[in-house]
Amino acid sequence: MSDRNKFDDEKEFINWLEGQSKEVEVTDELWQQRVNVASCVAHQAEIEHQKNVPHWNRGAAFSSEHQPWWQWRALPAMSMAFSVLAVALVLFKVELVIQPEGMMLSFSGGGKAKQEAEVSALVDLKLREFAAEQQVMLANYATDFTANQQDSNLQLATYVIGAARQERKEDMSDFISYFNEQRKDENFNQKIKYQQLERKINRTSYQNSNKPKLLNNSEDISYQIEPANFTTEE
Amino acid sequence: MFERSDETLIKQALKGKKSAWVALVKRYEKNLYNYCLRMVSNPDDALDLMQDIFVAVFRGLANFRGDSPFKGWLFRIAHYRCIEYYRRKKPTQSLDDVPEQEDEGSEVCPEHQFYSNQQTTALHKAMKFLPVNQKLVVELKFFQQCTFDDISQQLGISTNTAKSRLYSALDKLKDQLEVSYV
Repeated sequence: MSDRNKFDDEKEFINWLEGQSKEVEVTDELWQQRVNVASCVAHQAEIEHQKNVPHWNRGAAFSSEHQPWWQWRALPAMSMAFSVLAVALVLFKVELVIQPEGMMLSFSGGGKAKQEAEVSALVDLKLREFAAEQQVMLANYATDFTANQQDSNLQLATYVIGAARQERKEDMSDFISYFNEQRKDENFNQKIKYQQLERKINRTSYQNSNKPKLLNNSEDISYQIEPANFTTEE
Repeated sequence: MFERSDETLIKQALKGKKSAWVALVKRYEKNLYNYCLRMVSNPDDALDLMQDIFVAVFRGLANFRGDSPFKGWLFRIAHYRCIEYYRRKKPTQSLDDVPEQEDEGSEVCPEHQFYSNQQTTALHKAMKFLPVNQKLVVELKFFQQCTFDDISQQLGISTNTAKSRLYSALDKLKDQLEVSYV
């Protein structure tokens, strides 16, 4: 038998095994026997009844794989490590200070002293600034107070001087009025006296001319020319 | 009731849900047990091998990427574990050699006797005489209905090697079956 036929038989057999053809025709006896055995095995596999699985622990493989996080194996060791770290931090007085300029890690309280010095310096600076500010405010207040006082004094003095001057002016006016009144009265008295004197003179001259006859009448007239409001003028 | 897919069960098992893993095991344990039974021809060894395979599957479950069906991945692991089983049992014997046959008369286990008498067919008896590599090819071809490409992928061999192993297995089976029938 030629190799060509064997090759065809094998190809035919493979196609049949792979389900690409339902019938198989081979010429070689060896391949025919293989076909027979394969048919027998396939038939046995088809009709074979599958056995049930005996009871077994199906979850046995599962137990050791996944654990809740609180049962994590490294948790106690990590807890111990953090405890030791915490004790070390306390013993060495480790401080972590976070500031706007950055973070500062200090040991043995060095950071605290530095921080206190910085705070003290800052407080001093603030106090100096406050004192300077207060001094400026006090100086301004004193200046304002002095200026107000001077204005008040000036106003008071002006008022007092003005009032005294007005008072003196009024006194002088009263005095001058009184003096003028006196002068007017004196002038009036002088006028009366001059008039009396004139009347006396006239009467005397009249009496001299009409001496026996008119003596009693002239006395009556002198009484009549007395001013009616003499007492009021006084 | 809707049946959860293999991928869903795997994801849930990876998240720590034991019931998902048990459901996955129940889905494939019968196929796998019968495969092991055909490969080792002993119920106790088959059960041990099946448990060994499931342990290996669970350990490698996180590495399953889902590129291929889970069943194929499971049986690929099963083939490797099966080969390991034979290597462990007979370290000096090649996988291409015909395994030494145990004396059936020396079997004292009643369960095994019962299995041998009632369940074992002539085919199973004949398959005992096949080397492991050829037995794997017969198993995949006739019991798992795999193509030669699938067989070559699962066993990591070429298609021609798979074919030649099958031809050799068929020749040996013919002899054994003839002997059995005679």
